[in-house]
Amino acid sequence: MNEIKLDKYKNAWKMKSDSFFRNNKLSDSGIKNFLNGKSRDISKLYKRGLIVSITFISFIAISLISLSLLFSFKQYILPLVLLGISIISVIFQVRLLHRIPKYFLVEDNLKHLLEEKIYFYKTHYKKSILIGGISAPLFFLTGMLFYFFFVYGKVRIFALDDYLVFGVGVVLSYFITVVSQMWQFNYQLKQLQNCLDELNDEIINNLSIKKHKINKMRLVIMSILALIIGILLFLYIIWR
Amino acid sequence: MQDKKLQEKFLKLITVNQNIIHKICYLYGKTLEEREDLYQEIILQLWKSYPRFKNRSCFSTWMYRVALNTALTKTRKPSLFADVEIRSIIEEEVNEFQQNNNEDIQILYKAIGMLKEVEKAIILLWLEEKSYDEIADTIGISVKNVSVKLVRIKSKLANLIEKIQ
Repeated sequence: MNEIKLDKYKNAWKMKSDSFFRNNKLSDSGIKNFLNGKSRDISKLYKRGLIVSITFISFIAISLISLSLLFSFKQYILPLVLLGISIISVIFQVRLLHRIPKYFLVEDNLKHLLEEKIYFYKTHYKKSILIGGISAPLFFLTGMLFYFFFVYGKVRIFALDDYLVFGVGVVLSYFITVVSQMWQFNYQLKQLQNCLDELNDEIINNLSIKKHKINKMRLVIMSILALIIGILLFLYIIWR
Repeated sequence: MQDKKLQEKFLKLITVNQNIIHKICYLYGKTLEEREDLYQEIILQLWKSYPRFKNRSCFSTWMYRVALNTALTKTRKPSLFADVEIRSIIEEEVNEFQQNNNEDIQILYKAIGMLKEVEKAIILLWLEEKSYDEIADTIGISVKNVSVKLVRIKSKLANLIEKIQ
């Protein structure tokens, strides 16, 4: 019954599926306009995001250098430490930038393409979120230093309250940045993983069936061996 | 000069076969905006990989492969405004269906839209009369898996069509 029904729809598809979009047909020039757009492929978006992050942290580094020159000798340890952290995170991100695959072979088979993209998400993308999250606390602390310089002319001695407030500010800014990006990352990774799991479910079933057959064969062979040994022992006992 | 010739040739082939992209965008894009984004992404990916197309398969099979891969591996960002989106989807669908008189096709699209992502791809290739070998090669699974999956998908699709009618 179901086969007959689907044949009817398959025939309808064959005859009418193209005309369904007669109002949406585009000309050569219409399609050509799409070629001038920007790709939103994950590796391109990721690359653009990294470049923005590198630029932002570099800007913070330049601000810290100028701040170090303004502060007196004893006071520029903190700006220098922050500058060191900025430089290290820029170096890491530039290295990540060079490791981005130039393109995913979109004409590859679906399963392989999904595996490549999931691998990319789990390695490069996740690392860059953890490193890129440093930009928020760096921005916060640089802002704090500028405030101290222009209000007090120096980094004043911190009381316990100050450590608490600034400490919470640093942790919170990093935490919020990383958590929000990880939430998006997990959401997008899950979509790809669901597709791959859907593809693999038959393969997993076949593998477990194969495993079951091998175990069953082993059990039969062991039972036969045990029976033969048992018979031989019995015969030995009788004839002795 | 060669680039321009290549682009002209590419545009001609895409214009003739553009229904493939429309079908895939319609099934994989939930809103008009998503469909337009997907359409653009598919065109860009086709253009990027066109120099590597060496006529080993027919152009429409290759186009299906690239377009389906793009649609299935394009991830959506989480949306905080899900309710608003759902309302706009329903409004757009009502308008689009009112303009089209092909009831069977409407029902079929609606039913296919309720399948899982990979199931949509497999059933679409089957409807387009691609061989099991071609489907297996596109998806990256064995021919045996394709036949097993197709049996399940067809049964699921038939049940969905019955419910919609």
